[in-house]
Amino acid sequence: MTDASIIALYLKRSEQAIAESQNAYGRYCYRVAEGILNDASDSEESVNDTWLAAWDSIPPTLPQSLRAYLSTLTRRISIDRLRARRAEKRGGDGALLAIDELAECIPSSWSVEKAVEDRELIRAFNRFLAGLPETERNLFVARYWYGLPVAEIARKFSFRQNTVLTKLRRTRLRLSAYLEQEGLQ
Amino acid sequence: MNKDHFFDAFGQIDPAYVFAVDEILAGSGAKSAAFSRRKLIRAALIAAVIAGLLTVTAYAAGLFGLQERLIRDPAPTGQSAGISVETGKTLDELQSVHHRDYLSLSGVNGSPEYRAAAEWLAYKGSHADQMAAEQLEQGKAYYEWRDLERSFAPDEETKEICRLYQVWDEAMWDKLQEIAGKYGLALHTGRTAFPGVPRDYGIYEDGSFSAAIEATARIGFSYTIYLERPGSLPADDLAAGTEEYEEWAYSNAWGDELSIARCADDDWALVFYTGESATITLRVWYGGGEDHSLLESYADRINFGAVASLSDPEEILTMLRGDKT
Repeated sequence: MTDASIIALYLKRSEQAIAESQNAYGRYCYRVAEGILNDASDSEESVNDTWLAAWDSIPPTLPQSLRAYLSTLTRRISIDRLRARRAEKRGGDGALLAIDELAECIPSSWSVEKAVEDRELIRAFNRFLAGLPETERNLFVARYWYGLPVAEIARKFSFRQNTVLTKLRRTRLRLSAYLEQEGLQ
Repeated sequence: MNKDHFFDAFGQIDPAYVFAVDEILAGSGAKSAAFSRRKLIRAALIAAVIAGLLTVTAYAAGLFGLQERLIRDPAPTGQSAGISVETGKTLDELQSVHHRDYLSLSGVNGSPEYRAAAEWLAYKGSHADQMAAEQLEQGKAYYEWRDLERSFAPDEETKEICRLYQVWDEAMWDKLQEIAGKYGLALHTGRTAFPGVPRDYGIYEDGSFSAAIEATARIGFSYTIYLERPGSLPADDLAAGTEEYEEWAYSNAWGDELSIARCADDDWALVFYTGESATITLRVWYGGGEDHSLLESYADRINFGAVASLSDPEEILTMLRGDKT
């Protein structure tokens, strides 16, 4: 079933929308959740929460790409779940470390008060990523979008861990310099 | 610029870059779990226990702070003992995601609002557990008990109330009304989004509201705010977490008597204000650390009493962003 057909089911308030979303994107959303949570049961719960979040938000939201929309919901829900369980020390802190690492890219000249419109920041991210070599871009997205631990990235991309760490660090420095020079308002 | 905001924005990059990586991740086969619908359903019941104690130190007696707002894990375990699921475990051996501590957003321990919230949260959790188990026993998906269309609702207003309170079947609707009636409370009937604020937040019909405020030049920090007027059962939930807190009393620059609770091992804190016309709860991201003065300086930037007196959404947002004091 196409995205348009599934979205039409949401708009008609047909429960079949959830089953079709699950059929189409359940595996993908599960991978997104598991990369962040590193826990099968939490990941499955996050995916189920994604369908409910989609049900309550479509409409009025009309996603252009249902896959992108659902996976973004899963990512947010999984990060929230990771924060909630953090005090239990149940492991899987990789994604939270990724948040801290990515924060290193915030230019030092940006004060805590600096507010940048989401749209401008996202455009800047996309321009930056477009200018990266494919491997560096993929590693960066694997770490900071998917929240995967470095060890797993190294395994999946067939690199040594030190290589991944070095490439990520260099890319973070480049991003920070890029955002600085962009002068976002 | 707050690190969570930065990370969230990165989450919205061009999907083409995201999907390209997924091709690699899916193809590697290393961690592509054998996803199955039955595993999805069964595992949904297997959620972590939120164990541990909430520790409050340095609490100033007489203030309506964290301790007076805490609703301890209201969903009782063991209610569904004897119901077995496919794994052979009984439900009371499995922990629901509903087992967590909450904060009362309106009213302190003993007030009608507090007691109603505690009862409603307890019911929501145990009802979800019970219904999920029954669905599994019948070989159905654990969530199929939810009437997504809310066909039991006789009109649009009821549907909207059910949406606000996450009511999914007639039993929940009946219970919600029962609890509200028992404590003499009104239910919120509608929520209007603030311009430019995520639609999960908004202003209710009685002037209660919730909002996520991004740091501005004047305010200087990001926070979420929940303001509840007395006399209504809050529709929002706020989990307290199980972190250790350090709490102290503070009188801000506007003369508001506050209680500040700093999470001991994370980068956020809670600020509580209890007034005659509203109860206000802030969750503030401040970067962590033991320095009271930073949080106190943030508390100085909000005129809680004035915020509580406003009703116009634009005026509220203006004040919350520090553009008017």
